[in-house]
Amino acid sequence: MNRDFLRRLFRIRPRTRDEIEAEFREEIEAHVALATDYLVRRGLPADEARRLAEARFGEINRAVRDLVKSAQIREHSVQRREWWDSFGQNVRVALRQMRRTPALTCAITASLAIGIGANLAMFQVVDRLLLSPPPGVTHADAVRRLILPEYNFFTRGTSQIATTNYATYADLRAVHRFARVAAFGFPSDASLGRGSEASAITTTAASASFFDLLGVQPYLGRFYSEREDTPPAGSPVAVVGYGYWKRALGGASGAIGRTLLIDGKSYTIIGVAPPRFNGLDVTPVDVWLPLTGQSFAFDADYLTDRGSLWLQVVARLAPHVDERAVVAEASAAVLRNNESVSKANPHARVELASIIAARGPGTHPDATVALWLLGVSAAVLLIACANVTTLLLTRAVQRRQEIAIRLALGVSRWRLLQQLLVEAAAIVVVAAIAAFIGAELTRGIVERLLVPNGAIDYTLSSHSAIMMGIAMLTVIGVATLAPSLHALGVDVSSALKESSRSVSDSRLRIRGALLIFQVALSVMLLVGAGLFVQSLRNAEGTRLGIDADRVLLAQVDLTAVGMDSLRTSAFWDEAVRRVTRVPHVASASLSIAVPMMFSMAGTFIVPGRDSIPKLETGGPYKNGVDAHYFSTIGARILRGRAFTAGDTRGSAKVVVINESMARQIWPNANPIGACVRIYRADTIPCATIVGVVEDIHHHQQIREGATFQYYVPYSQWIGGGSAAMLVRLDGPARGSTIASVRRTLQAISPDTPFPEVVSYADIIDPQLRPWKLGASMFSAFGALAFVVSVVGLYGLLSYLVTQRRYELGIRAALGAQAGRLMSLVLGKALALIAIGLTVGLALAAALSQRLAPLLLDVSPHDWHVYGWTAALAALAGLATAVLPARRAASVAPIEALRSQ
Amino acid sequence: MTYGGRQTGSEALPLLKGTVDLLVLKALTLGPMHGFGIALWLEEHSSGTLNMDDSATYQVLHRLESKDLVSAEWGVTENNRKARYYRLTAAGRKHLRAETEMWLRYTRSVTSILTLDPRAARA
Repeated sequence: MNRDFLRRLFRIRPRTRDEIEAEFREEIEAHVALATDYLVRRGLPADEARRLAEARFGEINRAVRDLVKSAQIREHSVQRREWWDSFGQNVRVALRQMRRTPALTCAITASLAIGIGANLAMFQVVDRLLLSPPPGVTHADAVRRLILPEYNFFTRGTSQIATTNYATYADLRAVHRFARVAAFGFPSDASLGRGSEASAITTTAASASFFDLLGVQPYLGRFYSEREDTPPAGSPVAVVGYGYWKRALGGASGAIGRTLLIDGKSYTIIGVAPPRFNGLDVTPVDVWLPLTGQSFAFDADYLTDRGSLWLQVVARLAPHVDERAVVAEASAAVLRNNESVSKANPHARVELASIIAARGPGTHPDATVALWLLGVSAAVLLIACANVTTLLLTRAVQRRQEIAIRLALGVSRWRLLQQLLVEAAAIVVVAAIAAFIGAELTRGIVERLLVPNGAIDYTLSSHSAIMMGIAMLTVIGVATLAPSLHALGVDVSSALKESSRSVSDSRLRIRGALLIFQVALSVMLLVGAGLFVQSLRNAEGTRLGIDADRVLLAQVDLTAVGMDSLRTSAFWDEAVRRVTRVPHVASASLSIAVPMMFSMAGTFIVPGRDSIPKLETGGPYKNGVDAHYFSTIGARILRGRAFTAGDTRGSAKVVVINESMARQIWPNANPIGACVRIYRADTIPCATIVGVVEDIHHHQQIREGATFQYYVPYSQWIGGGSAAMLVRLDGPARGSTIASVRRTLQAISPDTPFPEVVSYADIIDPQLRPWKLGASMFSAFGALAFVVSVVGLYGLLSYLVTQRRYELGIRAALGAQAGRLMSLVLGKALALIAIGLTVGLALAAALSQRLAPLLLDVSPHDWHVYGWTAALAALAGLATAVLPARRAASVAPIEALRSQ
Repeated sequence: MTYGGRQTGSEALPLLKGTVDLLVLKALTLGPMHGFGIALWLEEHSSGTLNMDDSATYQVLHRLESKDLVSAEWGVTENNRKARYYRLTAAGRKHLRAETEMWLRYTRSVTSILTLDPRAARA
């Protein structure tokens, strides 16, 4: 019979190297002795015979070494085989255990999969936003974004902001301690082509040094050179983004040399940027243009103007440079030529910030929310983990006697532990695979939800892979901890003696503690969900002064194609006439400034007063609007009247002011009829206030301070400014309506650039996103966690009733009423829920303080939210307990006693 | 001389790989034998033409043991010395039969080719 087989059968430990060697030496010694004997019998003298026998054998030590080596190789292969055999056996046992309770195993695996998948998805977003430098950038740790002091008109001091202008950029280029300095603009929508052929693209202006500084190589062709980006006007060349090249140019190398008509100006394509490269932003860029090559650059004195802020500056530090010295030199460079900054704050400093924008300075709501959601998904993972623990623990308790028998038979505790680990690992691996598939399937949703305009790279990064590995090992470790302690702590003799009825209370205590933990965590998540839902409701309920879901904004940049004001105004008159006839359009209206997009500062002098109150939001802001404007956007007229067709160029000058102006300038009086001067020149007569309109939001913000806004009839507007059209629909905006409005505008003139038509709902949507995201994710995870906890509670109570059947039977026999037996179970359930609730609410109260900046008009301790959560949890807990409680009450004494 | 000094020169035959396994198995068909017995038997029956250290016999024996072609246990010789006795297993017997068959077929064909009369071959 095979030695290895016997060894495995009896679990004999493999022989050590020394034992193997000793046996070989013994055998060789025997050999030499036998050979010597033989030679002596043949007549050789004893010492001669021994010498010859040894010589015949060969080098003994080498022989032993060779024999031991091959024996060890054999030994190892046997061990490996045995390990795989026992591993296979463990897996089979684990699968058998799972099949015994398929529904429960599936539910627990599914909850774990959701936990892992949620963590994976959130981590990838956090990784992209906060951990990884933008794709394509080499040696990103030496690159810094510059945060610069800019003059703040309202505080008359300086503010640190990330944007600046060409003049300051030019100053910074002279800083010697920077190896390289580059500037880039914000991604902006541009029109490509003309008339009905026109389409919208995203362009970003970047200096020639930008690509070089970031260390990117062109995928095709070349990037533009310094010579092509020299002020005042650079060359009309363009580098297209990889995605755009693939999508719109067919990925053909012939694209190089083609021209693009961008905002009415021709650019020659000279190169293609590498895949995934979007500069420092997450927004995909279609076309990169030289800083000095954009059309607007020719309009103004952009080289010297320090008032506008349109550029971001990055710098690469020279190796081994002292950052303080860099800051000092750069600050001096900025202050030297910028009088307004140096006067306002002679100690103003340049700051060097991380290349990863979400790391600040300043807030980045997407990153904050993603971090929170990562925390939330970690909580879900913990809850799922607790479920796995409960499952393993239940089995460990059920198998208590079996474990004791195996221990008594000499099976090592380590082997029992292996069994547990394999069982947990099997669940975790299945869950992880499900999570990966789930993440793959839902990636689109997650992407839209979390980074709507960004390209999240969903190939599994090394960060994510490491994080997944850590999460999985943690789950296995945490889930097996209590069951392992249990299995290892089995006292053989007492376990064999005790009956299944008398399983000690300590096991129940562990399960109870796990349940309390789950309830607490889910209550916490539910409170978070409640706070976010309330914030979202507040945000959506905020009056913007615009019916965002049914108002469209249409803009066409007519100056780009060189239209004069006469043709422009003819274009818009025609546009209103045509668009009004488009199906689903209720009305169309013209306006000079655009709410939430573009405002113009005006003059507002009340005769007889020195000044009007000054607001932090600046202003007052003026706008020229036609007669249908207020009804089109849905702003309410609070007093007086809106403009009418009777307010013409020649009629009496009239003005409509907003609510904030009325309230703050005429606190206790009726402003209607007051005559105010809205132009500096004395020669222009005053205008009569004819109406008060509600405040219309000025910025793309849900909450903004009061602003002063006044309106004059479109026909009485003096001064420049291009028009925009606002369109009211008869229902919520649909893509088809937006498209037909756009087509109508394109049809007016063959050489118009691409008309931008968007709904205000889309404009304001990014502002609602953090709350939508928080509300949906917290609700989903909270509900999930809560269901999981309730299932856990049900399982625990059922188990309890089964375990205490005997005791309940005796109580019933002694005359306990059904109600008392029920209350026994209900009391237990309530106690668990109450502790869980208390812990959960306390944790929520402590943690929600940190959530406060993300909430809108809700106290993080809003008692409604806490109250409803508590009521919901208590009710659900009681409802869950009813069934086991009824079972407890219906225990028939005779049967219960007989069953023992 | 049957067991003693080493032969040198042209008299010693180089060993073909794997053949010693076969020879050792063959030796064991006579019954259980210890390593020295096998070495002696091989020496005698090859008339000393196998140029082989005794230690090589053990390499072979242990290799065969690991393949379960032979089994081993400690025993005592007639002269009361301890020795490890090897015996053929059923698998070893089968292996020997198959390999011997193959060896014979192989050598027959090689021999018949090598001993061809060149003139006859051309014809």
